[in-house]
Amino acid sequence: MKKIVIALSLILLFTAPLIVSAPFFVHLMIMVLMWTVLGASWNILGGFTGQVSFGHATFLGAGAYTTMILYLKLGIAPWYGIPIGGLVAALIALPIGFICFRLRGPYFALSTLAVAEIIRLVALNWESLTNGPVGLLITTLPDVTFRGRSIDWENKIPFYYIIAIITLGSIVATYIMSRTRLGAYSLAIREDIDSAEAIGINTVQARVAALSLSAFFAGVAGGFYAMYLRYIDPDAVFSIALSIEMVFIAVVGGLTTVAGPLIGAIVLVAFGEIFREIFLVHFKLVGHLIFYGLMMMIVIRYLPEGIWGRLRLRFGSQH
Amino acid sequence: MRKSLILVMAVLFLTLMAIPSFAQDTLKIGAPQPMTGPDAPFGSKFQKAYNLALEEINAKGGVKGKKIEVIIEDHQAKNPLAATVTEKLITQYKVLALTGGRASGQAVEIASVAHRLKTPYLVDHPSADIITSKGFEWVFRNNPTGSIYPQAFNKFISEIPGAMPKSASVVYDNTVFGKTIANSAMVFLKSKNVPIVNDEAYPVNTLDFKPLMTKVKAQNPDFLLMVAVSTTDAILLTRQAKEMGVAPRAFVGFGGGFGVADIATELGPLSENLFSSAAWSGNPNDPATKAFYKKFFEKYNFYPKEHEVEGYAAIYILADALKRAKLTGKLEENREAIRQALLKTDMVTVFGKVKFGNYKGPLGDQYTNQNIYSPDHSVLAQWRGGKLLNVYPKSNAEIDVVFPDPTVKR
Repeated sequence: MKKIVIALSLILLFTAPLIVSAPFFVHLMIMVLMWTVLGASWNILGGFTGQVSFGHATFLGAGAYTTMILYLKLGIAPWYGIPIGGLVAALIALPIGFICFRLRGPYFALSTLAVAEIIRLVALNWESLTNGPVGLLITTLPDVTFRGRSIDWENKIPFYYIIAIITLGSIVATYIMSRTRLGAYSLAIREDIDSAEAIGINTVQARVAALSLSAFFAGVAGGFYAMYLRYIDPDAVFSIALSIEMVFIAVVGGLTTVAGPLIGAIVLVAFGEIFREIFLVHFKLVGHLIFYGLMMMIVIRYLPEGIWGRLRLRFGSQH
Repeated sequence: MRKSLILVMAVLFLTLMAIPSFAQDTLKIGAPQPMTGPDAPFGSKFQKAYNLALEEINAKGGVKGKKIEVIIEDHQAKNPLAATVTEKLITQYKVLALTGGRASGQAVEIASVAHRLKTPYLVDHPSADIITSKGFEWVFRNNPTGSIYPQAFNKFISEIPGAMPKSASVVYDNTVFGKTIANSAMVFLKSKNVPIVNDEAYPVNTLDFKPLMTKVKAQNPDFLLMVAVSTTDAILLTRQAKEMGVAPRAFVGFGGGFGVADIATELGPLSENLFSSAAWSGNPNDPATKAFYKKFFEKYNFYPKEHEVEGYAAIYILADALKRAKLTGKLEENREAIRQALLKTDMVTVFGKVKFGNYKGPLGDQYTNQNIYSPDHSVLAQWRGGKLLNVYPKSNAEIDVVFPDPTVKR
């Protein structure tokens, strides 16, 4: 049963753009998958390890800027820039982790907020590198031939497959992590950090490892953001609002679940669209955010374990 | 229960997306605007302006016997959402052209999508130079770019005898707008060999400008140039400069912060003779523009400023292009026809003359499809008795200029 569900999901993931070909829906699916990766990234740290970060936009922005700068200044194509962006984000996470993990609970959460703000200010003022508040813009992507055919970057399908592979990577990584020693350490830290230390777990190291893994995927998603949306500026990619949205996706989908972020992203992106469509376009009313907020409150009040978290219990699945 | 609710919503969603929402045969224009979130007041300003223009045009029979319709989508001042709603307007609603945007970040995203999906986009307010300096051939801009903003000030100091500053301090917020204007003004001043004695950037919504003003005062500048997008920054900058005894011949403000009524109410007599390099909102001495101000006031009970004038003018520019374009019935061909028509635009709106062309901007950017009359759409105003009145150039002036500032003892 479980294997069939997984196989079907995989088939659906890779054939979806062939079934639904309207460009706008493909765009929506791309956004859903991008948010899935961001939610999964946050979930690794916030869900599995229990370390709440309010500054995950730092890593998204680091990945986005790395990809963009490598392409615009050195001519390195974004598909190389995206994984490099992830690595840069993971590297940035190391010092942040070693410093901030001296703090616990709300103090750690606040320090991530501060770090995000510092990095935003650096991007804003380091003009020779980042072009400051004006931001960086890609107008064309380099030519690539895939199996003898030139890839059409004006089409959405190539972007869909790139983000689909990244999404799969983030979900698989989450699954593997939950099965390894690091996953066990993380769980122990989340449940009781003092006991974890008492039984000999190096909690700083384990948390830094989880943070780096988490930052890597946020950075990769950031690189994809830069390549797909083609424009970044410090206020757009380092904003607190982005960090908060990542938290929402992970929480609404279900913390510490493997598939939760995907469900969270589908629900939040889709419902955002539904409410906007119904209210703004059909009734010409500006009320959609009220209902969006109301829906979030209902989920948090009645489904504190998240949508997938609840469904998972019902179906008896572990992921 | 819960699952069925989700199912119902999903079905509803798909049906809504599947049906093209408006059955009547209209000429559709898409406008991504911030209708919610921090920028919502601006979205609603544009909505009012669009509606007034549409009423007038459609009351006269519309264009080619069809009514024009503007579909406003909400981008909440978020860049990814701006790309999403633009995609939706172009591919789902099949709009013929786009306008709107409001802030530069979102407008760059809209321009990028419009360019790729080959749909004409007429920028009506966003001012970042980057929007018309990246060779987007589907993007047109009626309003001036950020670096063109200080033109009236530049003319004023060059043309009025003795007005050329002997030295200048420049303080600006570190936003795209602040930096662009400050750079543009400084490039001009340097070309006239005016020494820039302070070049200071500050973050938006700074609470205390005293350290900054101490530096400025030490240089005793002949002119103090201040750029502020935020009103509280504009108020604090002026107040603390004056309280600390900075004594230039002229206090010159740039940016939205210096153009709002709060300057007069909060600063009181301290606002007297403060210059504001104001946003262009049409020539107040032009009878057509005057008539529009009055008509707008009668309908909405407040006078239009730059946003409303720009939004209203944008609809007229697009209507003019629709009138001249040969519409065949094929969407791609129609969009190309409208782009061609926009390239040949040569008309006057309440905002001023408009004709799109390619030329070099003040900071060396190569503009494409930027209104060639933009350099004339810049005005210097002065706060006088609690009112902001145009003083330069003469053709747009509402009152004579007071210079040097007699309230300052040098």
